[in-house]
Amino acid sequence: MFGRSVIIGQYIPLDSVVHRLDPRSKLLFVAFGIVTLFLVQSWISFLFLAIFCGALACAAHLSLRYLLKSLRPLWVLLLLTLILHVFFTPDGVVLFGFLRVSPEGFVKGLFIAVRLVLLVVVTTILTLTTSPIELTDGIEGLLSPLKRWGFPAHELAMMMTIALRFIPTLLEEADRIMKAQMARGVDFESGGLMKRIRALVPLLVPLFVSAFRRAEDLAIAMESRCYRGGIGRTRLKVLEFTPRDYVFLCSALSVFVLSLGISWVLR
Amino acid sequence: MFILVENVSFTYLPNTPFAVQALCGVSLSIERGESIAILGRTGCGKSTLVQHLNGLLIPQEGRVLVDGVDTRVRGTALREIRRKVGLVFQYPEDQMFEETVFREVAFAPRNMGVEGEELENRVRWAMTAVGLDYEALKDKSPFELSGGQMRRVAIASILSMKPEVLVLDEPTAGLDPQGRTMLLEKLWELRKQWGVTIVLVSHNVEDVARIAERVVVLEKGRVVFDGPVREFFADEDRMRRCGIIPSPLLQATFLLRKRGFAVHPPLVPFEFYLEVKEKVLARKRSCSVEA
Repeated sequence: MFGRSVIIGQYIPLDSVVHRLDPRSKLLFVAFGIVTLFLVQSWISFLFLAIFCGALACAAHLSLRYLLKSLRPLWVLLLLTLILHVFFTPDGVVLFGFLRVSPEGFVKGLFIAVRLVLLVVVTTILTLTTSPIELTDGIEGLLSPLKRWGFPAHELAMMMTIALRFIPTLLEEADRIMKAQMARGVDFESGGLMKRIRALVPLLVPLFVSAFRRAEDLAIAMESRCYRGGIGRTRLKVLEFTPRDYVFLCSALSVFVLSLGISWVLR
Repeated sequence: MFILVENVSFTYLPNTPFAVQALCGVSLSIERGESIAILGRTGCGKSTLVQHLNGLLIPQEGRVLVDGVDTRVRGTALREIRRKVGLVFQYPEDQMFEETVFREVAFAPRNMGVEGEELENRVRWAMTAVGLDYEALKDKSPFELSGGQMRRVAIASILSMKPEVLVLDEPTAGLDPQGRTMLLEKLWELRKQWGVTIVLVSHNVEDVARIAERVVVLEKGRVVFDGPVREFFADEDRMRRCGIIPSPLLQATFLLRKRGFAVHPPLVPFEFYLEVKEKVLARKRSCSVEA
């Protein structure tokens, strides 16, 4: 029953200033943060941004462990970046034959690695402190000005919410069907590649059948509650920009501008 | 004994904040040819226990022996355990995927390596045993059938492995009264004619009264009662403590007993019921002939 074990996203439900921020302001922070991280060219700017992220993580009561955990899938990429830069920067010192090592390449590789780490840290602060539902609400809120030009912001957010809602349900269903087929002698764990792929058919077909049935049930349930899209729909939790959000966004923006400025001056 | 459950404990997601202890120290033995009902309220560990009986779950503590073999084995021995103990999940029609009823019912024995004429014989036997017309249905898509028929195809798809024990998790859930009676009759026949041991998981008192001889009640992952069905149905307080609501007929006998009338719990043995049914049908036939 791994349905119970599924925790969608990485959200850690704590109560902190950062958790209580409007998801829209956190999304804006991430968007501007990513742009800044890509534009910035100096170590001092990185230091500034890192300090700001650190302060934010502290304010959110996030331990270093959680942040490091989100970096775990990144190790290979970081290592590869570093190695490629060390060995393939053209002005390197020749070791032997075609193999050259470049100290400058090492610094460059390290720079890009730090950039990647900071990118992940910035987005992780968002996903650790914001529940998936808040996130979709925030996305809808930010995209709704585009509705004027026919952009389906509400529909997009509704689709995301439904998808998130059904991930654990479908996993539980998959677990149940898998066990039922194992009771009928299916072996999911051994055999060659083709055999294993073929063993998936008895799992996938019933899973699709039930997913379609659920989708239909859900559509009927929504229609019978008079759902007809986002027009005129009110919400239980209205997103609201508080002074806290303005303070947060202003300080974030000033840090970003400052680091961009430093980077431009030191260019 | 055929299945021996010894002091089994099982926790979902151990060592996490989400840990749930589903079974603690459950012991149980099941003999060949018995018909047992496992009762208990939702979340008492019934389904977890049942999944231990054919090695889908492995006990974290204690052990389960099927015909003398520990369910911790792997490979062909495990497959043999799953063949001997056929497990029908709740709403088993959800697991159907083949294009024809024949292929659906033949799926499990095929996985066990049965082929050719033997395969066809088994499918025919399994479908007939649950009261399905082999010739009429074998080439139909299982998704075209009625709810009751689908349920029986799903049960046939386990029976075709020729299991010695048939474990059914809420087999009558969502069926109409006719489908329900039909299914229970077929289960009874399976046991009488073919000696298949029946383990029925249910919280429906009427189903239990109809086919079980022994009742095992689980409460918060522990066995709180294990004995003859007659004994269980004689004690209203115990039934209610276990979260099981007596059927109206049982409630009537409890009331009468409280007023000092010595009435026995109304257990109509299924055999008797079938015999009466047969006679009533015969009379109806003869009446219509005379008329």
